[in-house]
Amino acid sequence: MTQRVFEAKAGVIARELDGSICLVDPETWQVAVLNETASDLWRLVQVGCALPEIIESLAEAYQAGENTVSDGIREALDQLVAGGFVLSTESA
Amino acid sequence: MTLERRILHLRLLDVSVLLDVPASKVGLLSPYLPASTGPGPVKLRIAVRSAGVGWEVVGRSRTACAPSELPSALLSEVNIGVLTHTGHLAIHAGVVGVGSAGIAIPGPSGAGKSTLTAACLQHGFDYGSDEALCLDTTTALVQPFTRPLALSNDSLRLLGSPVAVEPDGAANAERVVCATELGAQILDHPLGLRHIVLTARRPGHADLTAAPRTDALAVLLRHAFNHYQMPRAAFETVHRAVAAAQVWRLGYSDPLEGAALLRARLAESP
Repeated sequence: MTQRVFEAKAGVIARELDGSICLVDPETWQVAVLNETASDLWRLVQVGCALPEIIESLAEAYQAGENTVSDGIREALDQLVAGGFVLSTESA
Repeated sequence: MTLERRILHLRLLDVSVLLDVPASKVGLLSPYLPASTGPGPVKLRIAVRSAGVGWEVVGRSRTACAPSELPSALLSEVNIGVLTHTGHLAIHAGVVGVGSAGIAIPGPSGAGKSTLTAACLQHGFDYGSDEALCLDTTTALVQPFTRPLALSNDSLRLLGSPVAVEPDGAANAERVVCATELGAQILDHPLGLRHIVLTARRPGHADLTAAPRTDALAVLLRHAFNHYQMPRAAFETVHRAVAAAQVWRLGYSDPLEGAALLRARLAESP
């Protein structure tokens, strides 16, 4: 069975400002300002994480059920992938 | 017939410019140009040549213009050339100053930056630019880019400006106006960026509210001109400048009322 693995695109620059992570891709000049949840998500994908690990980790951090947080996490990940900040691969 | 020519050496930001112009046009153009600086390493060459009944400005491109449009066409070429060659980060924004504080008003072309900047000058702010916020990538300080303002006849009418409006001029036809004609001092030294004002034109009275710094970071990055020459330094510079600034959102319909509000609130802000 395969699972999606997410990792930050190489070269993307991230800096924190007032608690939010701000991202820029120097190649495309795409800019994103992440909210608190997406900032936590970014910290996880920086080291490369599979989707179940991400959901488990954030559910624990927010003391919420995995079912409660999973839709929001998938949506945020899809936006980061669409913006070109995060790469998604299938892993066995 | 060969026109007598004059070579002018100018320095704008960190760019040396060589202007090759007909001697007869120096008087017309000189009020809009910074003081000559003498010969030095030239990064940019721009020439004005006669072409039929009008003129041609030759720089990165060739622009034909009528005699009355020559100052505007030449300054446009100088502007583009300097912002392309500068080592500073340039961002689409109006810039004014009050005391030791630099104030940036970012926005795209046509958003009303020049008009609001001119209104600020009429309310006692010093002039930094109506076009570009230029940040030194080492210090993140604001470097004034004090080209003359480009104001439409409509803007001049709206501002009740002391500068004469061309009665037959099209509403959107641009005039080149020196900041001193609006009674303003021109900034001649770097300033810290203390305030960033994000604007929104909307009906009703002017209103100024605090806004998240992250909003300004995104706006400044999206309106950068020359970030592609130094993307990492550009991001670091904007981040550093924004982190040290206060951010405001100005809603307004009347630029003079908006400028008065900025003067009342930001001139006293710590």
